[in-house]
Amino acid sequence: MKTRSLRSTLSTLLAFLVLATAGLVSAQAGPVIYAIINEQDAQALADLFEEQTGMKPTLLRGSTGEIIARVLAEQANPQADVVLGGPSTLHITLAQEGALEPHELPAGLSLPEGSFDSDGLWTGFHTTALGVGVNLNRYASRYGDRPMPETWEDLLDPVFAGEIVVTDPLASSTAYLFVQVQLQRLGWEAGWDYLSRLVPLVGQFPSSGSAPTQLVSQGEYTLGVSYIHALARNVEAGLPIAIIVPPDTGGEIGAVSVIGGGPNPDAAHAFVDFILGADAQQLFTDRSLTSPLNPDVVLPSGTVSAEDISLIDFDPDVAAEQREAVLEQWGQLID
Amino acid sequence: MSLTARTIRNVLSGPGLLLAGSAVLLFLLTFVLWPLVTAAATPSLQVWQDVLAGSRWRQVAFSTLWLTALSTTSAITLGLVFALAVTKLRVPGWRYFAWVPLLGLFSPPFVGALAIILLFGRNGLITSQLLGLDVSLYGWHGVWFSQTLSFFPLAYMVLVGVLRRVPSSLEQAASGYGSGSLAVLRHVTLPLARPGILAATLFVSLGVLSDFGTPMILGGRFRVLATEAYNRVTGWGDLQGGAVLGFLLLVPALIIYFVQARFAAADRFATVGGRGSFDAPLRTSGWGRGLVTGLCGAVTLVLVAKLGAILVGGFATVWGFDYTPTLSHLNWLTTRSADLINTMQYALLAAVLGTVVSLFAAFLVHAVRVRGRGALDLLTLLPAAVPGTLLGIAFVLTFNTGPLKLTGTAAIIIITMTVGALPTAYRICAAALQQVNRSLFEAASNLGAGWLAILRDLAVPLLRGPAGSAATLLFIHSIGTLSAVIFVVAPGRNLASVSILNLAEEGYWGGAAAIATVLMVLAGLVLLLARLLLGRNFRPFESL
Repeated sequence: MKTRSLRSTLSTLLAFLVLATAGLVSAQAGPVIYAIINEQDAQALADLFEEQTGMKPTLLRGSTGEIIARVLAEQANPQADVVLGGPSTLHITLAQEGALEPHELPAGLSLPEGSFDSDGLWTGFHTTALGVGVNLNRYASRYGDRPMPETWEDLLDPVFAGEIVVTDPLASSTAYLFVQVQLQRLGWEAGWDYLSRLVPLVGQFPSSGSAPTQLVSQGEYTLGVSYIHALARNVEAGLPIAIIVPPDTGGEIGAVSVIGGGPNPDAAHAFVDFILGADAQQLFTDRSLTSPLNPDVVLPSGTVSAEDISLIDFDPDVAAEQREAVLEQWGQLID
Repeated sequence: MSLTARTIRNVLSGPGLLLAGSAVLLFLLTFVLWPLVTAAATPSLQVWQDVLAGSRWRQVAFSTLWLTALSTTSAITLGLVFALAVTKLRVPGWRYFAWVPLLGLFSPPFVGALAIILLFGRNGLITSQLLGLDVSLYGWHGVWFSQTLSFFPLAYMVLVGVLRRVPSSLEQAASGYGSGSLAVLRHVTLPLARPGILAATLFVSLGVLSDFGTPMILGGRFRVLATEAYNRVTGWGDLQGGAVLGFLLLVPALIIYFVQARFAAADRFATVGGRGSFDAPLRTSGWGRGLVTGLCGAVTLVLVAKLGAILVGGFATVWGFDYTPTLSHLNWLTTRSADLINTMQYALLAAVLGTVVSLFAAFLVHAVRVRGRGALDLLTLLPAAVPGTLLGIAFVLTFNTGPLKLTGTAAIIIITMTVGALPTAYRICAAALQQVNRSLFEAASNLGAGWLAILRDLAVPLLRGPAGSAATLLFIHSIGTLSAVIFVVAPGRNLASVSILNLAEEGYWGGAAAIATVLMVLAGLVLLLARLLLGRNFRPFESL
């Protein structure tokens, strides 16, 4: 009696196991992509690629650091073919570690100086700049008719105490850009002076680069330092947000690269050509509202035009050199 | 060691047992000890020095410790109140309250913290839009509030089983001699439930210690080690620094384990010969019952609101601004259906694997009492002390190359899920075996039963309930887990929880909530299915 019930339990278990194991082994076709851009945009690009080529990309989305760590950890045994998105600095790091293989620029495509690697190890496909998002409802309820801040210096007004969100550069490499913009714009001494006056006013330093946009959109805070395109997307979605582009801001080049020794090299190169082409960039620009590098793209409404952005002459090499020292000092500043 | 215990071990030792023991040991050595040793050995001395020399970690470590103490205390207290209300006080509606903590278990902690912001944040639906308050949850108090809510169900589940086994005859006797209900609780019920309270403390505190999602979302400027370790990796790709910070968390975790083990050893007792004892509610004063009922009711409301925010979020156009119902977020489910299927499959397999390993480990340690059982016990419980981030990093560092190359396979994801939930599953089986009077095993052994017969005819029937509980917990833990698996998922082998994190980070609450809703519904269906298949033997929350 007991044995029989044990047996029936075991057979039920076995049935479960067989059911669960079925389909564990699945075939993969098309390029395997590590995406740092927004999950929804990456999916849309993958769908378009499949439509055009018949190859179905496999996607895995992760943060910048996560993808660096993955690609480097897997270097002896690469699991993916393409790194899609993320600042050029990330791709430079991967190139220096020997994790990438060159990709030839498609014929006829000319890109601005500095937006691609001369050896073809990485290629830029869009740019975006830092700005400040304002939740209009929260602003109106707290500050009434007071004019909105326009410059980086305007953020230092003590009335904004507790209402500003800035991503923590210790937790996010994209947020490091904000700190470097201040240091390169004002010089080392004055830059730290600016930061040390801003830090006490900041309500929180979240760890995700997209958090300031979300927190401001939800009305949790009034002002958030964020990428302009992320804010523009929420404006398009109908949220009560205004975008401020302070003079002398900084930007980054979002790039794409091919991982050396990946499982599907041919599909990988085909995918990078696709990303650099006008169709993909039009789709990506329409969705992400970043600025495309392909000149054939028609800018959608909501995109902040490049002429309206005044960029400082940002030196990525200095930023890379100073990293340890800056993060150390930043750590002391916020504690 | 008594003479009978030695006899039993001699009778039980045999080739089959040796095989089973070796398999369990091999699993633990390969997937618990080896990755940890690798992770400790990988960072260079320089990295260890750099991280440990920084003064900021001291401050963060201190915050981590006191938050852990605070959240653990409140989660255990709340769990105890619920467990007492259900088992001993039988307050009005206790049959419903018995299932309420289950609601808290369903939503992954990460999603739960987000739902709390949407409800109680500075612009939250309840705090700001309904009540017009301007309160901020960001800081230690928000983390404390959210962690109490997410961890009390764990405490409740451990305690409700233990309290059920405290014989009411003893309480009735004390009550009959004129003790008040508080005195009965203090002098009879709680002392007898002490091993359960200690076990609950162990699990809740280890869970709080390594929880990174809640502080990440609600911490504001308040920092804890688990979040810092996670950020090291996700922000800067610094696996080595992340590993070092993860190891910093191991120290308090091990201290908690050893303190608990010491206390637990001091009051081991058996109250169960077979099962069941006379069962009657404790007589209590009206206001006491009122207070407990009110507290349970309030917590129920908050948990229901939390689930509601997830459910409504999946169907509202834009949460907070436009509540027009829409099905558009559900479209996202079709693109992400592969992730959902992966999650269900892997979690199911992890539940089976984990249950088998925990049953054998518990049997070896507590019934057979093999030599070196202390080490085996520690090895099985060790993953509870390992922060998920560290476990994930350790798996990446160990199984990417080398003799056992598992990167990109389903196996590494299933094993990561299993190892993460193993301690809880093992503990349920172990506690059940501990409460079974050892004389049962000794009698069977003296009558000539071999180890297989004892396992089959005695341990398995007695453990069917606990094994069901263990499997259920493993499954629920596995579908929601994030911190470790995020490092081992692969293209084409992604999980729903990772998608939820990505979508929530992008601010697409609709999509995140839709996936979370489906995950919760599927988990509920699996529970129902298990209940149908196993019938009355399936009592996940009464078996401990």
